[in-house]
Amino acid sequence: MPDLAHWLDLHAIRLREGFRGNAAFPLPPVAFSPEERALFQIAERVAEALRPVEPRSVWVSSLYERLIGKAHQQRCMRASLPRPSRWWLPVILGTAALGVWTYRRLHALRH
Amino acid sequence: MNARRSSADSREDERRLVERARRDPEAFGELYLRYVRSIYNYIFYRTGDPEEAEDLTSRVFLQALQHLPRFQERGLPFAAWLFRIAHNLVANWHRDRRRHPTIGLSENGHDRDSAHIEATLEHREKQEQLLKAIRRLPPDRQQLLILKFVEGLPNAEIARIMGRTEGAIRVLYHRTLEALRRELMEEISGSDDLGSLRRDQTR
Repeated sequence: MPDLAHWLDLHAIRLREGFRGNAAFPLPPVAFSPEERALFQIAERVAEALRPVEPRSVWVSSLYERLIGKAHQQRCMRASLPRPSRWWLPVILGTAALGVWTYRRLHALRH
Repeated sequence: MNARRSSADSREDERRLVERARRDPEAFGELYLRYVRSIYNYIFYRTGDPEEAEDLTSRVFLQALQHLPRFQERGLPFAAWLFRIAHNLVANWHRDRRRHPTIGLSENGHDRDSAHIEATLEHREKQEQLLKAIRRLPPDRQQLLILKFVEGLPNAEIARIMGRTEGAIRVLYHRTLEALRRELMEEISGSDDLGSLRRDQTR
């Protein structure tokens, strides 16, 4: 026999499908104790109270515009950020190459 | 099998969209349109105030945009990340309100919108009482109820967003209802609601 949590879950599904009262019960109501029935009734009241609310369409579209504007602004800012300078890279590579060349030359002279 | 494959496909599609949104503002706009209602609803039910919900939802998406380059999927869906930002902002908002209490002008939430005024005053009072009780629950339980009933998500998806197993979600839902029952019993002791609850229980 499934536990009460299971039956409450099935009841919630039926509530979402629009069933109310005894029709929403997953089993005949007499199958449940009075305390359990009270939980089913509270669930029905919750389903009645928590209905989707539609936000104002003017507000939805004005926030959309604001976000898109902000997103474009962020994108431009990111694109216009100066790239980090890399002037030291050829200096380091040149020094390293010179070091290797000098070492090899000295090594060749010794032998 | 097909459902599992389509869920995997949509995850892959979202992963690609998030990747594109790092470079392409229009892709971020697509993500915004996909999730703005969910985040708005989450914040609306956690704060009970449509103006705060608009303000905090804006901040969620502005923060998401700002931190998107640092977002790493790590197996969690993009929605989970957004809900986490929303959760933190709502937590700060509650902390600030405790420090600087204000009298809300729109206590009834969306009821200022005439389209939402359908129920009788008594029914609305009861609903408001229930919503207040829900807002007193720990944040993860509130999130579970909102994802289940407002978003209508199946347990598998809720589990993915909340980073838990499906079994844990089922147990959490059961415990949440138990906690709500206790809350309501305490809150409405002496009122008609308790009478009806007791009547129901003794039936």
